[in-house]
Amino acid sequence: MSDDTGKPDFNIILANAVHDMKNSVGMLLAALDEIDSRCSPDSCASRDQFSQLRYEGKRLSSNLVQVLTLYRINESRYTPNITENDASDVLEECLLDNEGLLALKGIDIEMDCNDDLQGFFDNELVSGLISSVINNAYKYARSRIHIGAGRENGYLTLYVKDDGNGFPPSMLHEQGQGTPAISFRSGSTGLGLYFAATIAALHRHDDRQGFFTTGNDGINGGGRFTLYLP
Amino acid sequence: MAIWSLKHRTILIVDDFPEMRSTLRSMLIPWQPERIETARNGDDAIEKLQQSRYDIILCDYNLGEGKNGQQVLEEARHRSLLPFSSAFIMVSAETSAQMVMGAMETQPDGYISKPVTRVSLQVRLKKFVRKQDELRTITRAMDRKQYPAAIELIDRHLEDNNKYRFELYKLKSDLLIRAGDYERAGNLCEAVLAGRELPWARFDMGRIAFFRQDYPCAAGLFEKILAGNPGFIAAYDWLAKTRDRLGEHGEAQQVLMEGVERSPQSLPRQRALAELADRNEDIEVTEAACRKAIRIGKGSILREPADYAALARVLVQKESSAEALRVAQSINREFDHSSLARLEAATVSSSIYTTMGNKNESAGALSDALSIAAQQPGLLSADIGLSLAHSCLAHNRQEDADLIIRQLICDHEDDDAVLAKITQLYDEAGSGDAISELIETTRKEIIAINNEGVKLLKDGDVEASIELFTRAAHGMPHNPVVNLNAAQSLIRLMRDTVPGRETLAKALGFIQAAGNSEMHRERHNRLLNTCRELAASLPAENDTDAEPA
Repeated sequence: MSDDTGKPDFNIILANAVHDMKNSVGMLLAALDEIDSRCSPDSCASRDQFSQLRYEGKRLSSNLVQVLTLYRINESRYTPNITENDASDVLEECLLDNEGLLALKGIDIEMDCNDDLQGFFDNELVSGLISSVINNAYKYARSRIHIGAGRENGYLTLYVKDDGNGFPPSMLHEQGQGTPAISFRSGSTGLGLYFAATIAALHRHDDRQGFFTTGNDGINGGGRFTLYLP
Repeated sequence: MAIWSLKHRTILIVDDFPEMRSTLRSMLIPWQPERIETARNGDDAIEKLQQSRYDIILCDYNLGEGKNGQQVLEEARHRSLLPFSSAFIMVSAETSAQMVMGAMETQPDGYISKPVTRVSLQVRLKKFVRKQDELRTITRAMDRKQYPAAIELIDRHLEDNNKYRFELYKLKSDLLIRAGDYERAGNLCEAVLAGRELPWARFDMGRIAFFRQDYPCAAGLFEKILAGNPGFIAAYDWLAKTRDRLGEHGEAQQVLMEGVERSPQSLPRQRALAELADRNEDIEVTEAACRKAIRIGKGSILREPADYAALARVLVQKESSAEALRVAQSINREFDHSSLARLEAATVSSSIYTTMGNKNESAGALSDALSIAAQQPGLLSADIGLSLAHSCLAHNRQEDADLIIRQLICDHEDDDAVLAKITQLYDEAGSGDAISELIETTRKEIIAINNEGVKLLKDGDVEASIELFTRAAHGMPHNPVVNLNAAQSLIRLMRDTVPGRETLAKALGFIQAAGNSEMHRERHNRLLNTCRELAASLPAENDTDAEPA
């Protein structure tokens, strides 16, 4: 793990450390789930805190996975595994993955997807991305999240809408824009958007490339995220 | 959501931690599988796979001491313990990018990263179960090796069902290539590529070009894959092979080194690199690759005594005789004193002792090796043979050297690389003239035998032809033409009379012994297909997969 000069490669150390953290968080989450499954709503006064803990844990884990994935893509160690997939499969996986947590906060999640909608994409990457978008929407939604898929100008689209207050202007993103600027003041690290842009761009067909848009045309003016896959 | 279950499915859980095994088990139980069994390590898993078949195998990558998950999968595939209809799912905490690459390369049917949750398990298993059900007739044909039937079933499925379309195209292309039907495979891949640039389709086009010996075209195709997908590891292997065929040995090594860097955990790749670097006289790379091959090989079904002998030989070149000797001596221990292990160990020891100036020990090891080789000529690989002949010449045992070399020529008469090494060996010993004569006469003898056998067959004396080729194949166990001719005569016998299981097995044995070099690939495939047709006409054997539909 060193270059010719014998100096350790910081990138590798960082990646390994992130990896280790990810595994630790995984253990934490599994332990939390275990405890949670043992306490019923009426017998456990700290249930709300538990759900908060689980949410933060999931967020942490999903951020670490994003960092690792980006690291691999940057080192060109990750080749997207592009296969034909059902949009409904991915959305269902994301829905199941988040449903429990959303229910705790009283948020309903609905899915609207035609069963025969298919597209070419890396299943792991795209489900990771959509799941993290849902995870983000959890924070802002009042009571509803709506996920779905469709087709637009030959692109397969996957969207997540919520009924919150919408994105701040700095996070609004349209096709053709570069990666949104990182602003520490806004509290956003930019990781999520950078991840979305990178994953989208890995999907290419002929001379078209994947991209995403965000807008405030979700449920009742809430946030909307749409991924376009060629 | 549709209700689903694991009813009628059998599941094997492989994990070294008892807690993990019971966690997975308790996650699965609510879905009511028919049976859940567990294995606590790789050996245990292989034993279970030998005893019964499972619909789903959940195998942890890290299994502590002994085999890891990848090696379990490798061995199961290698020994045909995994039916096509089973789903082998690798569970892993992905400790490093290299490991993940390695694990993906042996191509498990799926991959679940830790921590495994009920949801992630449910989503994956649901998909597999649905696929298992929908493709059952196809996988069943594959398991019975009824490949033409499998292709037909794929076509039928595709007629009215879009699901799994590309996966089935890929499978079909692979089946067509294996059957030597390059025309249809090529058309299929072209049609796929016209719709979308899918690396596997371009990769198959490359393989087809390679088998058709159109190396420049193959090189271009593999390069194009790597330009767009530098992580498509198999393309490095094939590009290296192609460059090597084009005579660009240095470039071939370079390409393979890139592949090794991206995915080092493959024994065949390290072995190929060692072989290539050795030919390029790049001692350092050879040594590193040999060591790595041995390390990866621990616990793997794919490891061979030759891996150790190769390291010992490169250590001799480096004049590290003491370590070379230690490596040579470990061969017998590592491989349980098998004949091949004893032959490799004795052969390489003989040359190590020579460089150490220990003439008596060297002569003793040489005699041991020669007697094993005489008893079991089938064990004599080109590397062993060359090394043995070299030792014979060093001990002035010219006749023994000639005998060995004669067998090498018989086995590798159309392999220019081996013939060049033989010629070089004799040139250096000052008998360059003798060798070209030996090659010439040996070739003539082989041609004479083949002609005689073919004539017997033409004249209708099938039995005599079979006897002649069987005898000839015994004397030159790796000669492709003789072996294929032997198979052909047996096939003729089955056509003329009634096909029998035993005769069929013999024919298949000869076809396998003929190897699968491009030069004889077409004929090899043709004979293999005929055998399959004959096999299909046989009355059914005890059906091993007689399970409720």
